[in-house]
Amino acid sequence: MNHAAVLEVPATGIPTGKLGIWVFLVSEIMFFTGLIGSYIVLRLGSKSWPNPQELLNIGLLATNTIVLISSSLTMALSLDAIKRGSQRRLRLFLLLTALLGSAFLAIKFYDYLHMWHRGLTIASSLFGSCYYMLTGFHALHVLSGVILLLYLFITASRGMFSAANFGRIEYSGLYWHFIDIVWVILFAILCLV
Amino acid sequence: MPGVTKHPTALTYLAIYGWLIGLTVLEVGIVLAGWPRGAVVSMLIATAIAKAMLIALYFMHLKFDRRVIWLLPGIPVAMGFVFVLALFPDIVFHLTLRM
Repeated sequence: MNHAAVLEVPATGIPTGKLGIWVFLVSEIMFFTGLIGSYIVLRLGSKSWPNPQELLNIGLLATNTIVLISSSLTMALSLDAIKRGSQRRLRLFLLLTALLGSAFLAIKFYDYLHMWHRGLTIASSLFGSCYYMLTGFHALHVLSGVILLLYLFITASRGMFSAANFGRIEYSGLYWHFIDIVWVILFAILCLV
Repeated sequence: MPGVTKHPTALTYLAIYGWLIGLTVLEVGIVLAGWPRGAVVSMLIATAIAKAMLIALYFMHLKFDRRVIWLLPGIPVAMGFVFVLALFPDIVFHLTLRM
């Protein structure tokens, strides 16, 4: 067994890169668990809480949920494409994922403007603070993901990936799907409940 | 690529996508149905967990990966539940004081 093979598959049987991204995701889970946990505690500890459906544009947020879920699909399809050796489909799906991520951010920005005009700011109420903190940190993660996807698209355009070398696509996909999971939870407990 | 496990096919991804969209539409329907609040909250939490599990199992390949990976996300999620549950007595105490 050569040195490269030792680094690639350690004793756990999990490739080093995959283990690394999962350890990073653990820190992200703890970060969002802290934020969501604080929101639940604040909400349950408050005597009154506004009905989110009266303050938020649920149709817009549901559309954004579908946009992000669609981006998860295209990210998964990009991995499938490179595993089959299709460079063209890899680039197409990476670009689509980045575009859908950007669309999510654009809709989020419009949502913030809409809320701002309706008087719901980060300082206006406890609900406003929770909403902007949770969705704001999530949006920052989406922005980081879009930048990462564009970087991957540029590298893919230079032919850096192949059916035998797709680790970075897979690991970036794990991050992107994690962002999707966070939004799925936020949409339900912050926007609908 | 060494150490890489089997992944789902494009058709499986599309099927999971269909389920996720269906569950999202169901969530909005539950909110608009005007059912009792307790039932709405329970159903929304159940659908959100179902969606998160579908993404984790199929898009993140947890279903196809070695089980040891499950420990990594499982431990902080369990700790999160403990964190919220540990604060419940404090919440109940404050709510009781106000009554």
